Amino acid sequence: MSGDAALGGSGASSGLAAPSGTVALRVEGLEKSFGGVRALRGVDLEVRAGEVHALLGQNGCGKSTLVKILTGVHAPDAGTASFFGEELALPVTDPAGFGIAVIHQDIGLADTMTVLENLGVTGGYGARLLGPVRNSRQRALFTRLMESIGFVVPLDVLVAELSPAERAMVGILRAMAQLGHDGSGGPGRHVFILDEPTAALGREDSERLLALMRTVADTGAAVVFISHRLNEVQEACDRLTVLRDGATVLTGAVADIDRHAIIASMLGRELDEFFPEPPSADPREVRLRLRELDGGVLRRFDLEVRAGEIVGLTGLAGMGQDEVPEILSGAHRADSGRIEVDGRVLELREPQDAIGAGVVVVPGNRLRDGCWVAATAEENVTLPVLRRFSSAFGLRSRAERSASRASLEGVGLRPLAPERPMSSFSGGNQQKVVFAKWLQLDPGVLVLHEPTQGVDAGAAKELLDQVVARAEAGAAVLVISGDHEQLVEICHRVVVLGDGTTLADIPRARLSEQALLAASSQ
Amino acid sequence: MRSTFKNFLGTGGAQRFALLGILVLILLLCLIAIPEFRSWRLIASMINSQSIILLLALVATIVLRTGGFDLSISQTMVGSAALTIVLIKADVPLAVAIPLAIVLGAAVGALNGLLVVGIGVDSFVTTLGSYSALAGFAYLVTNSSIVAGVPPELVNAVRSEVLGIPLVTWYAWILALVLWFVYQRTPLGRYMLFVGGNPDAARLAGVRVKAVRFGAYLASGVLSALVGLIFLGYFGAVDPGVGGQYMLQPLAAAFLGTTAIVIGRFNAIGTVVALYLLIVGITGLQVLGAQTWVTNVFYGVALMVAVAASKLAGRKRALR
Repeated sequence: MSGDAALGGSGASSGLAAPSGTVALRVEGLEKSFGGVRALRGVDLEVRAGEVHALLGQNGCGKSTLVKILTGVHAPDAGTASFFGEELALPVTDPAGFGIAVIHQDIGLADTMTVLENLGVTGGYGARLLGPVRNSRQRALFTRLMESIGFVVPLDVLVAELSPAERAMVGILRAMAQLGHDGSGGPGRHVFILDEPTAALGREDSERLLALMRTVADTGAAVVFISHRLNEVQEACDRLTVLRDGATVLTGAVADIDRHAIIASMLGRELDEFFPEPPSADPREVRLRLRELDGGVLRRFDLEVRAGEIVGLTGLAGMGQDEVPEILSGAHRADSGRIEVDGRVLELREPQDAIGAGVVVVPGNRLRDGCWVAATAEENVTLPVLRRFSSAFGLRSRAERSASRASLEGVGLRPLAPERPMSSFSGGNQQKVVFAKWLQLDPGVLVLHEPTQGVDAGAAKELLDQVVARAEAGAAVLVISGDHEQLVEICHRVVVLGDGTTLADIPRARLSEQALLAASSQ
Repeated sequence: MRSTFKNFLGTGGAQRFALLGILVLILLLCLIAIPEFRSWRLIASMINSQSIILLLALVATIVLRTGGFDLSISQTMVGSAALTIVLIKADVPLAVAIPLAIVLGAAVGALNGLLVVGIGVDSFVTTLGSYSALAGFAYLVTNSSIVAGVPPELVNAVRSEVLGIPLVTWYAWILALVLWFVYQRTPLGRYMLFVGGNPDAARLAGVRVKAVRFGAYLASGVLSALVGLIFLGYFGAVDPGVGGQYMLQPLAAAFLGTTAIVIGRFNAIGTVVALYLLIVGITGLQVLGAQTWVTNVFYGVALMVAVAASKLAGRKRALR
């Protein structure tokens, strides 16, 4: 646990004389509440110059809140910070001016512009607003910068043509230029925070990026690497810090901490009884069968879900689990492979084909795919079944109202006010409306994509009770989620995906968060 | 009783009828302050002369409701009128000329729909293109001159009076009622709304989003061509350059209509109320001696106010 054990952790330094051991960024006792929710309750973080420091923790542990405080998005309630020994006023209103740069997972590049145009925009193209852009000077600057860190991206190609790794590198390059690096090689008093940069990358691209991080650290800067991939952390990082429930629970040199200790400290929290059990009856005949499905990241993916069975599907970001609901909903067509429902091949061209076959997908992105916030709860619920209320004299409003009221009562909407606009409900209640919309179709196959994302614990319990009830009634249920705790509690078995194919199929008897985390991080 | 009244106001509140209230208020003010207003003939001619704009405003709501724009409706109207009269001049019987005009409208609508829905071009740009092309078409077929000489059947079908009100006005009111029924009382009307509001969610709920959107452009084109025939019967002649005068006013009425009756949504009755409000305002100003340019300024400002007001109404709803 002691941070002192990590001196000399940055072993691989090259000749650029990183002042090893100098503390680049220190954060102490950081606290932050949103409304009544305590997002951070005592975060300590010490990042040294010349090191790559891993910041770990499950979703919702406070990593992103910490980053947002360091970049001036949120103001903390308590806590102090220092930057290369100088006090750092929080929130950091001008992070780039101070020397802190964040490279987000989506990087934020304009696909239809060239690399040089993308790089130049943060520096205002080195010119006044209406002055001529100094292309040659820009070109020289970025060429020198690229040479100093030892990789080359052609400056004149469109960003759309770059590989994911090259995009990430352009992001880093842009951040370096933003902090005033000019490639002259002097030790920079800089901290780079990379938020899951490898999440969408294949192994080869990841390795290039990890090597680049090391090179940047060797210039004397500090690199904070946020990732869920433990093997990358062990491969490329000097020290690590683990956050759990908004507090620092572990910090030290990577070499001194074994994998099990990291996983244990990430999970650590007590399991509560907020989750229902899956149906105890044995699953019956196969209702949903996917055969050699190709599409997006998925590669020859096979899956079977039986009547009365609840199957979980998980994996690290971008391993193919998100493609499954997209294909099963009919939103995107699979490249090849077969989908069978109750033994019959299902041709999915459009979403109405799925609905017609009794396959119902509750989408993960509620606001984008699940509802229209300007419409009322009733209008959202009855949308897929509106024709039921059609008559020669128009929609039968009373029948629609009583049907929507019954559906919404079934999921426990509060307040039970079908005539209210969607936007007037809380996130949990909005999700109940989305559930009601899909459950009224009496699905034979129920697919749930992140069913309780952004939903408070109480509402989550009510929703999951509904899911279990459907399985008991004979539906085949597939839950796609990154919430391992939830999957462990409600599933008969969980399939773990890696690079679009099954890595592990873990039965209930062996199901635990540790098992899932270990299987995903292979 | 009381609770029924509260429910009635509950979904949108008194706000729903605010625009109607303003219309009544301005009408009363004009009646009191301006002696010329106290004549049935002035009021009748005020309503009748604007019926074509009302028809176009109602047509405009169709595509607007599905989340797009159809700027080409006014030129489709002029194009269909120009084609019809040129065919009549060439001794083509009405029974052939009228279907051809409707085919022109359908072709314009289908082309707009194909570009916007099939290829994904921005609807504003697409229909601005067809607007300009159709303006050229009207000049082409009329040889850039005003063409007169409409058969009496067509004139009668538009200007004959029923209960003292010319048919052109009845047509507008009938279209308003039909669209009100489709929008408020049928699944299609609800689908159009969701397609305009959140096409992803609509598609996942099984709504045929592309078909609804394409159908909207097609209906818009066909109805605009029908309005062209009404236009022909009403004026008895076609000036190929008149389309520009009919572009902004229908849109202003349609947008202002979203602030009435069904707040935040393009709707038929709200559009009627909005247009009559604009007409009474302008007529009042003109009777008081305002110049012609006032009309343009009035409609332009009304459009901006309408869009701002519907935005604010939508924001308020979102916060509730």
